[in-house]
Amino acid sequence: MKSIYYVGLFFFVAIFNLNAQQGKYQEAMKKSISELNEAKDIEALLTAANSFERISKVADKEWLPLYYQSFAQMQAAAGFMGSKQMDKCMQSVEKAQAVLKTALELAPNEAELYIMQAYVYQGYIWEDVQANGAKFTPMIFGVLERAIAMDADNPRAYLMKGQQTYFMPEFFGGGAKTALPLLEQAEEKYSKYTPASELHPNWGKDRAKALLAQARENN
Amino acid sequence: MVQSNDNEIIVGANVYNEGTFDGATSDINGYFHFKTSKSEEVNVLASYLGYEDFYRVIDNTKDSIFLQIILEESANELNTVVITAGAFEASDEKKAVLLKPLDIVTTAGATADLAGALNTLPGTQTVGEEGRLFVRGGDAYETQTFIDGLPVLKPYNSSVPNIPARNRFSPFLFKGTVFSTGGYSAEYGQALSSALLLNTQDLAPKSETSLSLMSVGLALGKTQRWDKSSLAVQADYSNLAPYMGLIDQDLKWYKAPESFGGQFIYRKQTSSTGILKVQGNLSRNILAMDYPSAEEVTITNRLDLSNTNAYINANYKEILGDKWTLFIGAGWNNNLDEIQQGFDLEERESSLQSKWKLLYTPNEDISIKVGGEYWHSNFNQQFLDKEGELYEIGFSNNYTALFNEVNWQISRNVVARIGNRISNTGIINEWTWAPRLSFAWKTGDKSQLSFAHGQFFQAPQNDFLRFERDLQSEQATHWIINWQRVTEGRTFRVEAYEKQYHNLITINPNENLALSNQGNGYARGIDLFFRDRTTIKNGDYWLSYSYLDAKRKYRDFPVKTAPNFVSRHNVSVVYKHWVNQLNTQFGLTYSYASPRWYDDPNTPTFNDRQTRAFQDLSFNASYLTRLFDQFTIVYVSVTNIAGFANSFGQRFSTNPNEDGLYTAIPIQPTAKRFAFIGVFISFESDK
Repeated sequence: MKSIYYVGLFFFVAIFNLNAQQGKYQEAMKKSISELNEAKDIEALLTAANSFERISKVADKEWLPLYYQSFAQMQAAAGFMGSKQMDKCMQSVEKAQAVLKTALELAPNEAELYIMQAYVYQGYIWEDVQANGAKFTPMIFGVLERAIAMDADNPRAYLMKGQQTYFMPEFFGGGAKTALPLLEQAEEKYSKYTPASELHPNWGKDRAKALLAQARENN
Repeated sequence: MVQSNDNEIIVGANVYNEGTFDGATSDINGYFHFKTSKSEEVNVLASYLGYEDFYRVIDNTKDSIFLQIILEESANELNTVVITAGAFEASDEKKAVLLKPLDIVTTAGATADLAGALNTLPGTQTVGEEGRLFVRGGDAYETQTFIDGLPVLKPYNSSVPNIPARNRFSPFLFKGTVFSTGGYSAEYGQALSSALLLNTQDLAPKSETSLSLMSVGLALGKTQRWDKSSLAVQADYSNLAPYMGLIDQDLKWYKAPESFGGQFIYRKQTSSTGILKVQGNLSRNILAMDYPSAEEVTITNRLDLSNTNAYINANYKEILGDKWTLFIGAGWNNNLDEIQQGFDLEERESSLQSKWKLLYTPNEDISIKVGGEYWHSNFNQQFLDKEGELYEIGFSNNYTALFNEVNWQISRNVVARIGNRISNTGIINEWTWAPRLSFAWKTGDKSQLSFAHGQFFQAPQNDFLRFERDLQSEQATHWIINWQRVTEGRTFRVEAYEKQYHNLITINPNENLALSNQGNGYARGIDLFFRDRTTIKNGDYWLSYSYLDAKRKYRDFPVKTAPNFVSRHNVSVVYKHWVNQLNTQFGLTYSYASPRWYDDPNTPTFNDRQTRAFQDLSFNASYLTRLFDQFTIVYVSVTNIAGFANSFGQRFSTNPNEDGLYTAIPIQPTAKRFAFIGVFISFESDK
């Protein structure tokens, strides 16, 4: 199955609250999140991932540093895959999964973590589409459905669902036609969404817009 | 700067002052720098996936400090040696495996039968009229099937001699299969030659409904997934009558094989590390055919066979604390066979098995396993002969075993495993001690050498225990050595073995058919396996070759000779190819087995007749599409497309005719080819 199953680097826009925040944790997180936003290459992504790792070791009850570390590793993995370094790509995917597992133990009812899990599962599919596609695809939808059940307004769940559907082969139920309603739903959710705090995830709006335009074109 | 112990620059390592946010990431040249607040000492930590953490306390008195960090590679699956002697593993979990579970299902010639697919691996002899697994010169009873560690009483459906049986379980049930051709762990017993270890799937990933429509029947299944548990239920029905109506069969069927059954699979994740599995199946199959009578094979009578089988297995696994893993499981099997052909035979076998196991891992180099098993089985046979005489025989048996095993990773390149199994078979009042030993060395970056040796015992079969209790277990001593090289996409493996059999059951015709353990035998040979998944784009193939030299004196053999299930050369070539434009995977399998010996009672020499060599070329295709807007697989398979005329020898009458001659009929496949078509639809439950 050589159909294009994955997408390159995500682009996202973070919205900052420029009011001064107290607490070293808040400061460190904000700095690292901005590092992550501005990362233009794999080295910068790994630097951001490591910043979050250091924060997570000190603020060891927080799931957010682990979430972002996992996210940064997945972005790096996507970059490695783009430059055909599959072994480094899988190393990053494994790291992302290990870190996400710890985060889920801290916050087992956090929808964003299940959405990130879907992204990590995609990483495993990149490793060997033929061998892993059939196994991980239902797991991706399973985990996104759980995320939606926990938080029906989270736009990223719909973006991931739409994206996964868009790139899946047609006989698996994928393609531009079936993905379109999901992507439209994602855009709608984005327009109404505000994150719980300035540290909470807020990426994907531009990506959703771009994919929706692509889906409309190919319909 | 940061380097590995192999002098490679490490990019992306995290170097930091422990307990603070201060740190940096090593860049493309391995360099890092960061500032941290004033203090006397700094605890520097460096970490990178795949390497051991680096820790050093540094005096922080100077303004700037240069630190050279060397990271040690940590042990992982790919760089650490594992014991592979005598085992073929198919799993999704590990990377260094030779087969994936999907490989078993998509092998042509197997028609999704587990034993059929395993027959294309080295170490197996093709015995076409049987359909069961014959491993390295051993009889079919010498291979035991285990599901989640518990033995399965009747893994094959019931059949009559010379009509192949099929494995009862669908290969889709299992996430991992270890097919051991010898030298297996002390955790398993009561199998002289081989253990087939099947590990079932964990939680179902999502809810779905599935429908299977086949040329031989249909099946309907529903899987429901909740937050931490899942339940799958399936009902199936098959009837070969329509198929046999269309295609000429060489035998006359009064009632073509018909079967129906149901199964359930329940999974519950009891904690983040614990899982409870309960599964069961119930099936009934019936057939009636014109079958040669034993005394005079040229005369056929109607034979009716029905089988009812119930199986349930529950097991629980949990990780306790940091270093302990607990496993407990229990299974119950009940099987009833009813055969009528002028006589009326009813055979009922039931057994209860239980097992517990504790795994202790004090550090990452040593793991210690202890455990025990208790099996209780009942056997009851009622035979009403043609004259109306009723014979009844029954017995029960208690089998207890204790096992321990230590796995010691001596270094990245050497691993050793030592185990013991002590068991008691109640009905023959016998204790046995079976030590087992194996080790492996890494001989190169991608290659390793592995060795296994051990003792294996198996209690006499029920057919013999019926009549005689003063017997010992049969015994086999295994010596196995293998060398394998696994690279990205290619695997090569060569294995040599020697098995010595002792105390095989013998029947003495001169002493009124008295049973004793006077038999012995040997089996030795070499197996070769080569798999390539990269050379041909979208193509995957494997070649397997087995050379076997085996002789034994057992049962009613008057001399020590090759038994009729042994063939000197066995070859399998399996090829699979994915054609993107057609969304189809094609498969082709060629098998060859050299002639086997069988006995002609009309000649004075035993086992002096030879069958023809066996050949088969089978084809299958899986087409992925959508039907009713649901994911669908259309599967087609045909065995023996080249139309080889295979013959498995002759079957002789047990009684001579009036001229003193034992008449015979040829043993042949029931039909030249078997064609199958199936449509498997998976319905999205929630969309």
